[in-house]
Amino acid sequence: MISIRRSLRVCERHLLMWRSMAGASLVGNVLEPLIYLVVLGYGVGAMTRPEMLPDGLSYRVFYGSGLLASVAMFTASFESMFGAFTRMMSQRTYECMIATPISLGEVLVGDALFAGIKGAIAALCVPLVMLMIGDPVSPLVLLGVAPAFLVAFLFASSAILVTAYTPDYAWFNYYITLVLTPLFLFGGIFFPVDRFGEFAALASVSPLGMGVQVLRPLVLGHLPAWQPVLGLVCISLLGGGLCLWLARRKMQVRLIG
Amino acid sequence: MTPAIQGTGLVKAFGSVLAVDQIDLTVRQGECFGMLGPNGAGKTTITRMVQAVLPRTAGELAVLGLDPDRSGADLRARIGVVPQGDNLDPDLSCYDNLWTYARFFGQGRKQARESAERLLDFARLTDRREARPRELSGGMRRRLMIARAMVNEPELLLLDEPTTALDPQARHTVWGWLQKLKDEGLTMVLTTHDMDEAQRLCDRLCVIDHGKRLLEGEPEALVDEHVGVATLEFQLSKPDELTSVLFGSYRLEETGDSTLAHFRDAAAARQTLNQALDAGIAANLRRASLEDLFLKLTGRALRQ
Repeated sequence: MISIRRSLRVCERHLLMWRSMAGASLVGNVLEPLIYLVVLGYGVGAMTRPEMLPDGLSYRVFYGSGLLASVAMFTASFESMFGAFTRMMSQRTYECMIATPISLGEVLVGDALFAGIKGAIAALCVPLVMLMIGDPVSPLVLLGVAPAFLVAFLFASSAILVTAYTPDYAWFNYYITLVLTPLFLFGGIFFPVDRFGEFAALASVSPLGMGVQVLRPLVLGHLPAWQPVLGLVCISLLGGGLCLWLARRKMQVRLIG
Repeated sequence: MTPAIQGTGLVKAFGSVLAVDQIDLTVRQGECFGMLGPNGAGKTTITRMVQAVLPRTAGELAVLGLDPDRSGADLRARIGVVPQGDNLDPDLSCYDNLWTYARFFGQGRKQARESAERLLDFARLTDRREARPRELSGGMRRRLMIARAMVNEPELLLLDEPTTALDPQARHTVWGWLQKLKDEGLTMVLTTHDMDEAQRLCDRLCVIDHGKRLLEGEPEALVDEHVGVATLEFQLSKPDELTSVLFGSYRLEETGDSTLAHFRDAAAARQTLNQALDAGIAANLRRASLEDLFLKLTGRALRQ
């Protein structure tokens, strides 16, 4: 049985580590979306007319309001690939933790919780940047912390599963190229998914697509439809839980035998 | 008094490979018990079963009265572990290493602060509290790891090669500490292939190879019984040079660069020494050691 209390102790260790590099991390969380929003807003924005986008949004606002979900995804994924692999192998952090009352399953849940928090923080930096450059942001976005966390938790769990199986860092490229990048491009962040015609439904039930459908309305000031909310909650908790369960089985063998 | 560790018929199989094959293990409370064996003998596997990290395949095992496979978290809460090598947290300072470790054991924030302070002092690293482990010397890192293992005031301390790769000063410091902990009544299981260390610290020990227990007992008694009380080491120029000088009953052993004669009778060894010196053969008389026993049991061939 997993004790969330013990998982939180793992999460606490990661937060303590993160505190020492929070400055660099937060600068990245702000600068990266700033560059994307300014450049794409300037370039693509000039080539799109407001009537092309839903609700007559400017391209920059449309794009920015979708970006939260992918930022949550990427931040959590990278933490749970490169960070977790380093902790599992070279730093032997997992080995150290499982010599205490904490079990391997609790370690992995703690990792996913931390990556979820980190992803949610990074995601909420996007509306901050939007405000900085003068785009409208609704206070409802504060509710977005929950769905951003769910997106990040799901992708953290899935990345931990990949980490459990990967022989070395280079193999992460397969996952990034074959899974994360397509989700990013087909998730309705850069343009509305109805461009895909009959395949639009497929794009909108992708885990990232549901995250976009929940987070974008919150930035724009209205509540999301219930379907993507329910979908996101279910896939995040069930899918994330399944990934962590499978990852624990594999890591147990790799770490201990 | 119930033993600290009682294992009967322990088996651990990885696929078709038996890493531990029907081992019986008894560690009494308050003793330092040594597990000796070449690399890959199964020592670490046994330690992991004892520390409730690795489930066993078969056999009975009780550690501090608990079954590791059923009460893992409760048992780990009462055990201290000093693993092989270095698994200190490189991302955290010395103080934070101890503080987070205390938190892993469920200590409250205030209690964890007190633990960290107490252990920094124990490790004599109070002035290095903000240093990261990589800024410390090998000896300091070891001290920090042993201090860390004491965070929960364990009833049983498992040590896996605690002085490997340390300089002589640091080794002696660590031995001094372990001796002190032993004197205070802490039960220890020491995995090592440093015979000097085992002889110095262990009240009893066992020799393991290929997943099986070869011997168990007190170091000196084992050496006396299986090797002898005295050993003569010869550097020979001709192989048959010795025949005229050897006296009494002995067991001869070729090691590659020298010839050993193990004696059960110290007087015979002394007489042989005198005769060898008279014949102009270089010889060195010493006490039979645990290393002689170890090599006798596990062979001299290089392991993988």
